Amino acid sequence: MTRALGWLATLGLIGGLVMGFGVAPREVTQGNVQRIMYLHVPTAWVAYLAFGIVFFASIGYLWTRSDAADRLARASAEAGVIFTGVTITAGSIWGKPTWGTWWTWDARLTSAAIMFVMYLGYLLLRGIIEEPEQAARYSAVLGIVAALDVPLVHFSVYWWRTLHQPPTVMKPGPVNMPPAILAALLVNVVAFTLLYTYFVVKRVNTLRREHEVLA
Amino acid sequence: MADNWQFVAAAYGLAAAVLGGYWRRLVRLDRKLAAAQVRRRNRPADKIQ
Amino acid sequence: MNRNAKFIAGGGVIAAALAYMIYAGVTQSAVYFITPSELRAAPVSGKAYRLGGIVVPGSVQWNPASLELAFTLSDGRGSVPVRHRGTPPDLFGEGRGAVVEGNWSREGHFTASLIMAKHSEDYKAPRGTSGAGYQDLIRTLEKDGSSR
Repeated sequence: MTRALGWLATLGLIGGLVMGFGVAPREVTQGNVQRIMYLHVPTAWVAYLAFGIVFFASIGYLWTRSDAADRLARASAEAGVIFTGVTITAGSIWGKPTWGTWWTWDARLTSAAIMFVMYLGYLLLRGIIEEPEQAARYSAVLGIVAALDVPLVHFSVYWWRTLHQPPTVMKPGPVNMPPAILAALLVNVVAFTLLYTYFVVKRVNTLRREHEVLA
Repeated sequence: MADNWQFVAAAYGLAAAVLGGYWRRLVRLDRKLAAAQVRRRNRPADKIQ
Repeated sequence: MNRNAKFIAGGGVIAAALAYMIYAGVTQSAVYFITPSELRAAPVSGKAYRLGGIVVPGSVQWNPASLELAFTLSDGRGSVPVRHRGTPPDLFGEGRGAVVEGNWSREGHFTASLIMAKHSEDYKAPRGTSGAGYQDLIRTLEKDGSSR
């Protein structure tokens, strides 16, 4: 089952590369460097998704005290940190030639960096507290509080003046993007979501067995 | 407009390294746990001998 | 060496990083850039500013030999002449958005130490012929101004 999901994600990523580099045209204004978008945007979306899952799993844990909810929160936070790292790195590499700088402290970049460091802190907190029930409880609270930053990241481009452009797809109104570029983006969104799901399922599985071996 | 292919390669290369690294960590953990589970299952048998 | 010391060090680094970023966010992100008309309203020479606007079409003068770049930034209500020494980023161009860092000089122009190009959220395929999105960028900028 997990293995099948892994292959599905691999297939999706291959499809995403074919769409992003083979099917989608060279963007007129930016040139080929725009193809970084097929990595940057899907990983950013997955990061939102991952931290959203941490939020709901944390509420679920405080509600039911179920170990499964705690394991889901932890697994999703790990994946979320990984994907946030990728989206920030890819964005920075794109920013250098297009914007003219690797980094700037505008609202979008700052809130995204805060999101990354907060969830890094979340994982560290889980490591510090040795008593498992206590670790689960404290991190559930942090998992809920940290999620406040996630909408801030997304809407920062509307609420403040930023260097970062507003979203093209995840917004109300028409999408000003050629169909082939949009299709490539959507295939990659699906592929990276599959990869995230595979990571979480596999991680939850190892966390459960770790618990059994230690018991 | 310069194409900046080296930037595209760097972005995708780094992403592959990070995502692949996490995947390998999960696989290794998986194997370690499988080995530990086998050891646990065999322990009572060892005692009988 | 021991586990606790490592975690305390890690926690310290994370707390420091968070504190710095929240500081940067409050001091820099809240008003990431001012517009030419805002600068015109109260220019202080020598003070560091981040200025954002549209590069006025026809205003760019670029000398590749001396790396001297001059152009005018506008927000539709006011405009500011900008001078810079260096190569502009790929996306920099007439009719497009730009954010520059530098200061207001006594001689009546803005001396930029960093030029950043502001990208619009629109993407174009080859043959999808429409000009530089001047109107779109004006719209983006006006939206930025109204959402303060």
